[in-house]
Formats: sequence, C-alpha cells, structure tokens
Amino acid sequence: MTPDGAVLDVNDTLVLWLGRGREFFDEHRTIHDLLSLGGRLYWETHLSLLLRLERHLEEIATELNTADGPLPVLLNAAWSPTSPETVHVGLAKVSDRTMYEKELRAAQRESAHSARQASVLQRCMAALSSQVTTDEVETAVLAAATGPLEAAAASLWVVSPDGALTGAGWVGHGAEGIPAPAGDLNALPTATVQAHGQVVIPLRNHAAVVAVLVLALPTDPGVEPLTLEVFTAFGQQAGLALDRARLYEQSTLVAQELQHALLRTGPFEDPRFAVATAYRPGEAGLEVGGDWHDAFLLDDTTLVFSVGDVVGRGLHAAAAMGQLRSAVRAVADPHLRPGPLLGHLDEFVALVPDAALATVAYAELDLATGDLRYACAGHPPPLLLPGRGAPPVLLWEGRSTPLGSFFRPDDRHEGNLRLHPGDRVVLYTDGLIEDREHSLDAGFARLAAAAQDVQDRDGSEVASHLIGLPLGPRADQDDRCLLVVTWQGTQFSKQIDASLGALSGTREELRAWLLRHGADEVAAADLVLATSEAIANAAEHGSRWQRDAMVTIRAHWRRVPQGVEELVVAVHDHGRWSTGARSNNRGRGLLIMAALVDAVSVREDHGTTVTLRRALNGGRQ
Amino acid sequence: MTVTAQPWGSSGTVILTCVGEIDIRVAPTLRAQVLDLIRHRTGVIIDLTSVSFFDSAAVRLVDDIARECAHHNAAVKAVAPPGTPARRVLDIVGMAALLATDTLDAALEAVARPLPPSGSNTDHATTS
Repeated sequence: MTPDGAVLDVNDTLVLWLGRGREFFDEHRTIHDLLSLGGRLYWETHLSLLLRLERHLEEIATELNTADGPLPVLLNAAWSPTSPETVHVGLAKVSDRTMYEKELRAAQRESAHSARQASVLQRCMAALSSQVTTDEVETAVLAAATGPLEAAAASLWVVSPDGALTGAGWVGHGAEGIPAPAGDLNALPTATVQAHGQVVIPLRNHAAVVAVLVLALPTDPGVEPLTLEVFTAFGQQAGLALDRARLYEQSTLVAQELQHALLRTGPFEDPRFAVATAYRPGEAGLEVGGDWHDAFLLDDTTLVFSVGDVVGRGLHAAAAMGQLRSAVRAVADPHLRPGPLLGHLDEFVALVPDAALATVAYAELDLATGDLRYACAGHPPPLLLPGRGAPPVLLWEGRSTPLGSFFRPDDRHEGNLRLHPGDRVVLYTDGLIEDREHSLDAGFARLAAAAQDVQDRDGSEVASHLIGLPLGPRADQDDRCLLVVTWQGTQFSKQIDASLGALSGTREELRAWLLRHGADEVAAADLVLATSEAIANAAEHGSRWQRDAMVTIRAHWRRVPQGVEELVVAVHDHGRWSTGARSNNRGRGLLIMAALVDAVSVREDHGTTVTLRRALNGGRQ
Repeated sequence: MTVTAQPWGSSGTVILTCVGEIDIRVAPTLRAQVLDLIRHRTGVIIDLTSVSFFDSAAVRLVDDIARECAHHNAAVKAVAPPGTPARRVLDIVGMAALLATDTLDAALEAVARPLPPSGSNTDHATTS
C-alpha cells in the first residue's frame, strides 16, 4: 500500500481470508476497507501516525473485516527500502504465529480446552489493542488478569530504567499483599509458577522485560486452569502494547513540551501595560497544534503582540509555528509598519512550506500615546474591549490574505486606533469563533457578547473567561489561543521644589494628564485641587526639615477588583506631618482633600506620602 | 492673578474683582495689599466669578478679609456662582451659606444701596 493507506496489491492468501473474491480489489481500496470498525479507528488515530513516525509497525493486534466477520490478526508493516511511496504490510492470523503460537498449538492439540484458551487470548488481545496510553494499557492488563485470565487477584509491577520494580496497580481481594517478584527478571523467559502458587508473567518488548504481572489463582478454580503458555503469550502482547503506548506518549509529550516552550510570553512587570494569555488544546487528540501567541517590547515605548495559526497539527505544524513566531520577532522593527512587516513574512513563508497559508494578527502599541497599529493576514479581526462600559468592537481594518497566499496583495493594509487607558485588545485564533453549525458572524457575535460580560474585569480574567467560551457541540476539536493586552496609560511623574514656583504649571500638566486618562472636567478639577493642597502641605513641612526640599507628584491609572477604574495621585516629601501642626489652615486643606476624592491616605516612611484616589466609573458625580 | 478694586459710587462699598488663580503661592503675598484696599470701607464685595483656581490658602485670604470687615463693622459678601471653583471650595468648608451670593446684584443688594457708580476711581493690586 501507499503511506496513505491505498492498497496497491494483495496476495492470494489475504484474498482468501477476506472471503470477498479478487473482484473486491477491482475497485480502489484502502486499508480502511480491510479492517473492522475498531481496527479502522485504531489505524486512523494511532497506527498511521506511528507508521510515519517509526517507519515500521510490529506485531500490532487488530482485526480484519472478512465476509465471515472479524478475524484477529497481527499486523507488521515496513517502508519499502526501494520505493519511498510503498509500505509492505504483512498479516498473520493470531492462530498461525511463531514460536509461542506453536507452543500454543501444541498445547491446543494436547488439551481438551484448547478452544477456550485461544478464545481467552483473543479477548485479552482485543482489549489491549484499543488502548492508547500507558495508564490505559496497565488498567486493561489488570482487568484482563481477573477477567479472561481468571485470577483471584493480581498486581502489576513496572520496571524502571534502573531496573527497580515499581507497583503500577493491583486488582482483586488480597492483591495488596502480593509481594514484588524477586530475582533476575530477564532470566524469566516465560510465565512461571512461584511459591504460594502465584504465577509470574514477564511483559516483554523486543529487548527486555518492561513489567511483571503477578497472578494469584483461585484455590478452587472450578474449571481446568489455563496453561502457562497462555499466560506467556498474554505477557508478550501486553509488553508490546505497553511499549507502544510509551512510545506514543513520548512523541506527544515532546510535541507538547515543544509547544509549551515556544509559547512563553512575558511575564512583564510594567505599569504601562498588562499581557494575559490563554491556550486550550482541542479535544481532537493529544497532538500538538499550530497556534501561537507572543508579546515583546520592541523598544522602550513599543509593545509588539501577535497571535497566529499555522495550518495543520502535529510536530510539523508546531515546528513551523515556532519558526514563524520567531520570524515575527526577527522582522519587527521600529521603522517598519505592520503592512510591510507582513510582506516580509510572506517572503519567509515561501522558504518554509509547512508555514504556507498561516494566518496572523500583528499589532504594535505605542505605550506613551496609546496609538495602536495592526494588520491581519487572513486572521480573525482583533476585538477591542474599551474601558468604562463602552461595548466591544471588532477591528475590521488592516485586512489582507493569509501569508504566502497566491493572491497576496502588493501592499498589505494596516488599521490605526488610539487606545484610552484601560482599553483592552484581544487577539485570538479561530477556535474561539468557529463551530460547524453556525455562521462565522454568529461566532463573532458570541465572542463580543462574552467579552461584554466581563468588560469591567482585568485582562487575565477576560482571558480565562473567553478561553472557556462554550461553542457548538462539535466546535472543541480546534485549539484555542488568545492574548489580551491592556493599556494602562502613562505614568505622571513630576518633581517641584518647595518654593512652589512651578505649582501652577504642574497643576496644568496634571489636569491634562487626568483628562487623557479618563477623568471628566469635574473629576480632573477636583483631583487637581486636592493634589495642590497636598503639595502645599508637603512644601510647608518638607522645607522645614530640609533646605531645597523637593516634592514628588506621581499619578497612574489602575483597575481595582470588582471592576472599578480609578486614578491615583501620590504626593511625596521628605518631611513629617505628625508633629508641629503649625498652620491653622492644615485642617481646612485636609477637609478639602477629603471632600474632593474617594480616599485620602497618609503614610510615613522615609518622609510622607499622601495618596489620593478617585474612581472613574461608579464613583462620585 | 489680578485683583481690581472699584468703588461702588459714593456708597462706601468697594468691589474687589479677582481674576486668575488664588493659591498657596499668591494668597499670602496678596494679603497685605488687599487689606489696604478695603480699609475705611463700609461694604466689601469680593467677586470670585472669574477665579480659575481656589484652594485653602484662598479660603484663608477670604476669611481674613471678612474678619477685617467685621472689625470695622463693614458688610462683606463674596460673589461665587454655582459651578465655579471658588463656590465648590466655599461649599466644602461651609462658608458659602453665610458669605457667598450667586450674582453681583445679590451681593450689592446685601452690602450697599444699589446706586449707579460715579467716577472711575479704580485701584489695582496685582501679583503673579
């Protein structure tokens, strides 16, 4: 067959087993047509991947779909050494196989209950063949022990890399008391009966014993006990199943760790912005996806952030994703606008076939002004979640085709927007909006509505809410990836000397800053007056302690829990307030401050800091 | 910051019109000049309508003027229409009810007989 599973040729024996005649193959057939339903699923989800990863398959228990019903077989496959597009597949009936089956056949001939033994073995193998992870295989082994293998109790021991035995589970009454098997396990070629009538079964892969199953048989079995040959055969199959599961887990673990390492963003400790990210793998399987998020400081005042999606899944997609994400970092430049930047990524994608038709949303935020520039190559539009109650807006500017598309434009467009402090921009992948039963428009509407539900929360709460957004029943096969950037505005910072020559100018600068950061005229005037009173106090006592005393004024925007946004002004000097309240006007100044803001606090620590807070939404009128 | 003193006719009343910011920096320096301007008057009106910034030091200045007037048995009112910075602060410190009026006419009604002004005998006090 081909690596895709298309049947190229079959021999007469297989035609005979299938019982459908040679004509069956007159039509184009794939390996799917030969396997039972369970075998087909196993092939799709597991064996085809393993075949590509390992270039061969060994002794896989599966079932043929014959005219007479399911036929258990063991499957071996190997890539042709001469033809890269051909895979040779050998099938053996379970009853026909190699040394241990010969022993089994001998046992069958000798024993009146051979039919029962064969049936037991088949049931065990069928149970093992449908397990994917090591946990599942171990559970199936123990279930088989007290099921078809008729043990009263059983314990399973796994061989660590250093040769030590670790308990992996037990089943049945008194199983906790079964001691670990002793001695050289690799000298244990077949199942053996040990002291106390316990049967020790080695589980082997092609090289060594990987686990040991210990069975406590019932004292009065009622029927004739199974032979050691059956236990040995079971051990061989279970060992291979365990080995296969480990291999699979290793490859998926590598892919997941790779993706996790590739997706590291931040953390940032910067008062001007916050970045929150979230990633949720699709439920389609353990395979890694091609989604990414990223954010980094391009220079002192520019934050770059992107979310992208490489077509496909698996290691190839993850590797292409990592390359493309790095390419964005490499290409980003303070003098390059988003449109031309995507043009450079087109050139990069031409060199990395696995990244072709990737989609990306790219944005640059000027942290000093709130100016946002963005562009989307085939990617869903960014979502703007404004602060202070305005509804969410999808940003539909700056659109062009996916990277490396034949139809790519000469100039990719960009969109522009000026953010206000507290505004959040959400980039996300299509897993958040696509389900197969509703239109994309419905997906966008649902995303916007969900964002509105949490619009008074901070970015990390928005991210964790949106990543779990329920979509239609078949939507969760796709990965979801999103990134929320909150612009927290600039910091106001100013020092004036205690002579207060710069007081009036400082008030004007602060007023302008407050108006830019969400205050209306009344709130700005109130905060300016309260701040001016605090500065007057600071100058008065600060200069009493120190010649040339300086007063420092800082202000910032912040979002507090329960969704209140507030402006905070702190006035600091090096003196102390608590003693020598000389001015009879001090009380009046404090009264005015308290009346104008939501909270005044005074802290003495290396001088005195007066902090004034005023809420922007839901605060005083 | 400018303070303009204008006699209201021959009533003995003076109107002090303040324009600009009255704050901790300028209020103490204005104090002596302003107290000079109101000496020997029977009525004083402080028009704060055009004051763009008004803090606790300004409150203290107004308080000093009122005390000086009381000392000479002169009537005093401050014009501080609602919505102005001065009114906001006078409300907060509890002085508006006794001192503030919404209009100049109301202040004149309270302080002097509403005679038309005669002559242009105007004094200035300015600081910056």
